[in-house]
Amino acid sequence: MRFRIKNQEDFWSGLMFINFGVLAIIVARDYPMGAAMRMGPGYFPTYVGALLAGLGAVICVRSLRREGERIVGWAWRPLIMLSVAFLVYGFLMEDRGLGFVPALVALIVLSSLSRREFKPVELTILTVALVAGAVGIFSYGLELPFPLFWWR
Amino acid sequence: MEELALLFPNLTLGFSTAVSPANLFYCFAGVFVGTLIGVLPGIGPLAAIAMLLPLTFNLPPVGALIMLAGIYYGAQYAGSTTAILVKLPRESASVVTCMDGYEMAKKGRAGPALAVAALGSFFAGTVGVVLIALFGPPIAELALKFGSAEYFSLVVMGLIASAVLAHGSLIKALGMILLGLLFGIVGTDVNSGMSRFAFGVTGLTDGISFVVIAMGLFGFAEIVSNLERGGAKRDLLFGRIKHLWPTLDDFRRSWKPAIRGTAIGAFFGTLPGAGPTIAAFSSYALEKKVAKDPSRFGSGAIEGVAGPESANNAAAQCAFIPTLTLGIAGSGTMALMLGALTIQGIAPGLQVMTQRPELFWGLIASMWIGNGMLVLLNLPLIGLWVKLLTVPYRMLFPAIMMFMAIGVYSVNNQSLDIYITLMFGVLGYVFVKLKCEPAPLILAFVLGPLMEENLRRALLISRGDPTVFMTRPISAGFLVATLALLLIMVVPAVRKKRQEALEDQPHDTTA
Amino acid sequence: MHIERHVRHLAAGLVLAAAAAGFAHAQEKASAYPGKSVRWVVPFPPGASNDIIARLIGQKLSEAWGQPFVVDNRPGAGGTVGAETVARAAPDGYTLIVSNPGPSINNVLMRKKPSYLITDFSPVVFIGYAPLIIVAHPGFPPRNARELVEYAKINPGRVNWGSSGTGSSLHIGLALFQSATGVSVVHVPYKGAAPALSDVVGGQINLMYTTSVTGEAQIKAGRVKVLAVADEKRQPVLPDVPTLAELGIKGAEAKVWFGMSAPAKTPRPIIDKLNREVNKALGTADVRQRLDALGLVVGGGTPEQFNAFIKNESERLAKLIKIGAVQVE
Repeated sequence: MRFRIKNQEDFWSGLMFINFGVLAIIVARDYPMGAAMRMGPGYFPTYVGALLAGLGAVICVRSLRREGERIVGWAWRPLIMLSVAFLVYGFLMEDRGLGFVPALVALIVLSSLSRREFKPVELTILTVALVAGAVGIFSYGLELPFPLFWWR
Repeated sequence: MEELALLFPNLTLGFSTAVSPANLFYCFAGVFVGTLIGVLPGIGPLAAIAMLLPLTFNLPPVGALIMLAGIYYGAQYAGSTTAILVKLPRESASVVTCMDGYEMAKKGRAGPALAVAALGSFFAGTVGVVLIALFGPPIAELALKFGSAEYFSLVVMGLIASAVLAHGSLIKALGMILLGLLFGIVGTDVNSGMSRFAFGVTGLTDGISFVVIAMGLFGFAEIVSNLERGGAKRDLLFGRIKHLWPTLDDFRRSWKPAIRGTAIGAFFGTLPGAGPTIAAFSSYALEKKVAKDPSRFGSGAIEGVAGPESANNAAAQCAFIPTLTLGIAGSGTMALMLGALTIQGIAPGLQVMTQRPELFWGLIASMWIGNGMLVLLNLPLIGLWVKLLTVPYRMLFPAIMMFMAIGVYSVNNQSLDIYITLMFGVLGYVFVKLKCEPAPLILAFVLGPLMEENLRRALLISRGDPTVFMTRPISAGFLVATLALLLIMVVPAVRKKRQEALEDQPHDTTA
Repeated sequence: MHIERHVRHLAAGLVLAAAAAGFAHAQEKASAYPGKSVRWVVPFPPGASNDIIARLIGQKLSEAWGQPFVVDNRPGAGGTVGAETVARAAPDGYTLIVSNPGPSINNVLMRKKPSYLITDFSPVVFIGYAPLIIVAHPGFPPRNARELVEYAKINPGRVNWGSSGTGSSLHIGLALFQSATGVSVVHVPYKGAAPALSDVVGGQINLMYTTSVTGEAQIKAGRVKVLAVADEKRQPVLPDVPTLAELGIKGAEAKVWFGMSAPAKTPRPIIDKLNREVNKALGTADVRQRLDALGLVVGGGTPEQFNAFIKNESERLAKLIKIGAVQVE
């Protein structure tokens, strides 16, 4: 017997809820449950996780019967490029990173690459303007204690 | 009414203190700095007040307090700006403003949204000030009646109400609430001191900060889906601006929500903890319930901006009530204000009203003046903000990315928060794809820790007897209200109508 | 054998020379210190007492040396995040921390696997302390700590005693009280002292430890009563309230204290220089007045004195843990 997922959105939502719920229950097994008067740290997460998993199951089952929409058109390129931009920014801002200015430049340039067209002149101007503005406002204006470059 | 008889001389004293050139300057400096930090990421009101605190050591106490208060409510006021313009909520109360404010901006109605937010806030602020002046002490007494049982029941009511926020399937909204509760658990358990769901990462032992989760689920996910939806072809994401100012119809739609929002905000503001957040969400839920056509909500209904914004600001003003009259701080910012008072050698509390009336009433009067200054400061800025949206999106989104990155990093000065934001960003995009509304998740995330903490404390104090939630009248009241809400949502007839309403709703929101 | 001795001498000589060079280098470094801005880590959010104290004294140090002392808030995990940062920082005097019972002692001893040790820090100077006081709802029958002990013995497990969190100074104070008197109360933890105090005022719980400055407004308004001062001497602001010792309760003194520490192995001359300057700042009238307003008994003294103090405090907590009065997580 072949069964068809009639509502993809709901089916995957339900599956996601089940996963998060089960994960919560598994992790919470390490925490003491306690009693009603002195609830342990495991009490609340276990029950919330169980409820979530149960609800997820209901959503999944319903999705097999009710007609709904298909999921189409993932924006892979923006998703990946913006993720890389954030990762690199975070990495450069670490205690032994290159500093605020290189991190900002990397963030802006990598973000812009999430679009196919590439305008080098415009991007350069944009980067310089944004970095200068950010350094002026945050480093000098608000005196946030970020080192600007690796040497200071 | 002794209070009423004394109000006039008191307010006269207050205004004569507040309008001295020096105090007017402190007030302006405060609201100006507050507006600035409210718009900029990277530094919240708490940090700004802390940084300026040493400066105030050498100011007279009245001036110091007026300036610090100005920063606080100035930031609260301006917090909606980024929520409306670029879907970056600065604090949990602004999440609500995002829902319809940002949709309005996308339709080229950023101007009316910002103006209504500013005017609603001014109205709410004014009412808030009057309330503090008239009923401060009795309201504060009411707040003291709130024990753990009451807080728990209140939070349960807020959570159930938040399901109304989602304009999709109700059951998925409930799932998002539960998921939000789980994310809220991350961090150190208040009762045992044990760290949970932190996976051995020290940076997670204080939990995920609001800014991180909001920037991820809203800011990041929004940029990705904008770039998906033909952002590469069309450079203008935002609709053509038809008019900068609200129309007569906008005003007609907004004034009632603003009044209701103010009332809700004034009530919740005095409760420490999540006052402004619950106020904003409750106001939104109420407006959606009373609206003739609830389907407009979520796609740019001006009532969904006017109500919550008023509620949020009324709550922010009323948060001063317990601080000033009882000397009990409901938030970190209020604790800092108390610190500022203490360091000036003034013990906060009711005796301030009698011993230093010029301080108490001067502050109250200055808050009203400050709210006026905020309107004058913010209305002209609207033109500038709206102009900002005409910048091609290909240049706008790297700037938004930058603002998010700086803002997230500076919360705790750690890169870990950037990585977690990214995780929530990806998750947020999945939510968009699965049509799961993130707003209930965020509310649950904010309220979840309060719910668990108070549930456990209430049962600890009652020695494990669960009937406390029903035997204490205020708590029982909230639970009955929750039940009523649930009934309204679950009764099939109502539910069917809800579904029909949702199906009528236009899907294209970028028009 | 001869060769071996020679080698040993040579080695000793080399070590001495290296030490001397290092010392001279350190001396030179100390006279140039601070040559750039100094980062003073506050392991709590802006506005906490630690933060206010750091900003107050940091301002004085900046003025004295013409180099900014930047307060860097690294909150998280009851101070653990900030303490970790400093424990791992270069011991060059350019990274300091506000030490405080939570990050400096409690978080280390109360964890099975602490991420840093008490010895990862060199104490610089004791800034001051706030004695804890017991405040109770006015309707709570006992009028002082002695009556409280009697009451708790007649009503075992019925007294609700709040704190600002598990493992906080207020919780340790409660544990000290229980182990000194043998009474058993229910510990009700809160997220911070303010909400706990609010519940004492509202009568949701019976009593708690707090500092006089936190409780001042409520005490003055008569919304709470003070049962005892947990210090060796009475408090100037509460002249009528007896100390625990006066009431016959010995060894339960509890305080919240503040100091400055540097990463371990920070050169001694730099520590001495910092110590001298902070002592000077603590002597000025305006700093004294501000700290007084914060309810602090102003400290000062040598790094050795501060070290001995920390050692003593950590031994007291270690004893509590040993007898099971507080649990290790």
